[in-house]
Amino acid sequence: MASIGLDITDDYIAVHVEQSETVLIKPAVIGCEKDGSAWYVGEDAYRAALNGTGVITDGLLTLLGKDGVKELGGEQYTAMELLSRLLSMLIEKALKDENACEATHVTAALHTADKELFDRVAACLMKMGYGEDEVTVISHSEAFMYFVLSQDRSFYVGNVALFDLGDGVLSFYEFSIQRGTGRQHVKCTCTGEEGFRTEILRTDTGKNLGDRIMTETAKRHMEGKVFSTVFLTGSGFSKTEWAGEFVSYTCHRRKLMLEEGIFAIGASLAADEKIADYILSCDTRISSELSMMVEIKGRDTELLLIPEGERWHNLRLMAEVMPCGQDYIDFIVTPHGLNAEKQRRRAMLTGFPEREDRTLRLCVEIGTVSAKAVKITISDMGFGDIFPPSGAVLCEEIEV
Amino acid sequence: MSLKLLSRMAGKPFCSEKLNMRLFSGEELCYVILKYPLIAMDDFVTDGLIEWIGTGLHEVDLAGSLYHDKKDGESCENLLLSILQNLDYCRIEEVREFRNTLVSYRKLPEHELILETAKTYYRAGREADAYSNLEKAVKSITALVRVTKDEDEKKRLGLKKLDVLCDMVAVRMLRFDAEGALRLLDMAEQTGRFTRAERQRFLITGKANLPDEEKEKLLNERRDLKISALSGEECTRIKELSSLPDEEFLIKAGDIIKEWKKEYRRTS
Repeated sequence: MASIGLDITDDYIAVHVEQSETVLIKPAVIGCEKDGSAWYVGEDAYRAALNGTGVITDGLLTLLGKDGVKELGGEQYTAMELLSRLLSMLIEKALKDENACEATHVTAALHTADKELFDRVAACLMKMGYGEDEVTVISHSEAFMYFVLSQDRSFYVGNVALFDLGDGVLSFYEFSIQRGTGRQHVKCTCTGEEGFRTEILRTDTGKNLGDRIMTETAKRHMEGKVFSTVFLTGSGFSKTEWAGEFVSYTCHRRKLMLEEGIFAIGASLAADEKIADYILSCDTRISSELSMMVEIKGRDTELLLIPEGERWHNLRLMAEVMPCGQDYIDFIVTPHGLNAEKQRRRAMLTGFPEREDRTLRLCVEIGTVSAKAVKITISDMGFGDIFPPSGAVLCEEIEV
Repeated sequence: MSLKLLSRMAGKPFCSEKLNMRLFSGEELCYVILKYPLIAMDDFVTDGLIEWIGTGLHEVDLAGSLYHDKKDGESCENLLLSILQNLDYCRIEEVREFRNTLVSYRKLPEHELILETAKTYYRAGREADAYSNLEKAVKSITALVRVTKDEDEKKRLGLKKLDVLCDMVAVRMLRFDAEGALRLLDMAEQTGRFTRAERQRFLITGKANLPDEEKEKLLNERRDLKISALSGEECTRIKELSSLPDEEFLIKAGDIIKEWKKEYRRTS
């Protein structure tokens, strides 16, 4: 029984079994024999293709984003089918390597926090037989946060930086922690992304240029701030001798760590209870608090619907309310920060039937669209046999 | 002005035979108590209702206290007040007003209270209960006439009895019982002459001792009502069902009529 962390990109897929020392990283390629008799992943798939016996396909995450279809061995497969097959083969291998029998929870980390893609990846994992509550999809920022929080405290006394050099893109992540008397506020953002073709590192001139780009990037993001640790990850850092200036700049009075599969390791820690001690803020977490003004036992109360730092993907809430002499519902958005002012967002109950006071039972459903927007659906539930439901529904999107 | 946070509805509703409806929540229970106090006073707080309050609404403490109070012989009025005070639906002023209403009902003469109860049953769509209460009211008035010595009072009660008999005719007509309605009108004629009874007779038989202008007015009213009913939303909805098989048509049309009747009673 183990928790599995996945890092899914178009180039590679990393699988980490919780508490394991190693990360299984394979090219995100799947292939089969031309007659469809056997399936291969990663290097095995390349090998079969080179031998001329197999056919391969890649770019599955992009294909999944487009909900596309690929032909393989004369058969049509959806991106979801191919990715599910690829992931289940890799998870099976990783579990076998660690002598673990089954995964209790699977968390997938993706580069960008896109609701539609998150939904599809979650559906992909569920297709593999995992239950809805056994699957979580997070972003690289969130996974990095978990990874840092699992390290020794001395690693994150100051800010923590991460350079992720993948095929074609250099991403910079910044982790910071706001210490106070209450729960500590942890923030992680991907503050910079730029094109970087690792092929340029094949020549000496390219290596010098690469080093210069990396150093400039590091200076731009890190100058004037206190960083206690810098992590390097991604296939671009498989060798670092080309980045001498960059390395000497980043490791000056701070720790410099080279780590493979950071996002997969972080993802495998997503279910860790230790995380509950912190308020997390990143692109997969809601940075404000959302509440609703209600009356409970004759007292006006601010009912907390979404606490700050709640993960927005798959967040679904429901409350039943009844307006008493009012034709609106007030929602309160409280942004993060000591001096942040509460903002009132009013949803006018237009289009609902006019009934006697206190006979309009409403169902308020809250779902999230992104870290910045919440979708609120208000529907008329009727009032028992006295007033049947009118079917009136109001949908509003609230910025949080 | 506020927005009340509600608890979840009961998994199984409470089926009130007195009101001919199902109740799914504490709010609905309070609403019907406030809306139909006379029905609620008529032995509404049964053991079944108390059990539902405990198991369906999860108001175990309230159900416990109601059970003990009922066992100790507490009046139905006090049980109702206890429900209204404990379920978070009414304002304090409303509970106070409800208490006053109950007191004022209790002060009414017997036949007036029965009549009010009959009207409440009628509004709640319980025609049979409304009719039996009207019958009770007639009996109560007749008994009162017998013991009253004041001639003016006797006359007033006589007119009242006629009025109640006309109400009974109206209920009979709602149930398409023209024969029974005419019998009641004959009975009313024995008590005295009454314009309302004459009008009803005219609408049933087409004959009555009424001035021609009055007759024409009644016929016009009936025609207008027929036209408005035929052009009404319900009629259109029923016409749209004509393609359905007979059995399904009857069920669905019946539902529409029931819904319309309910709405009519509520608004009229």
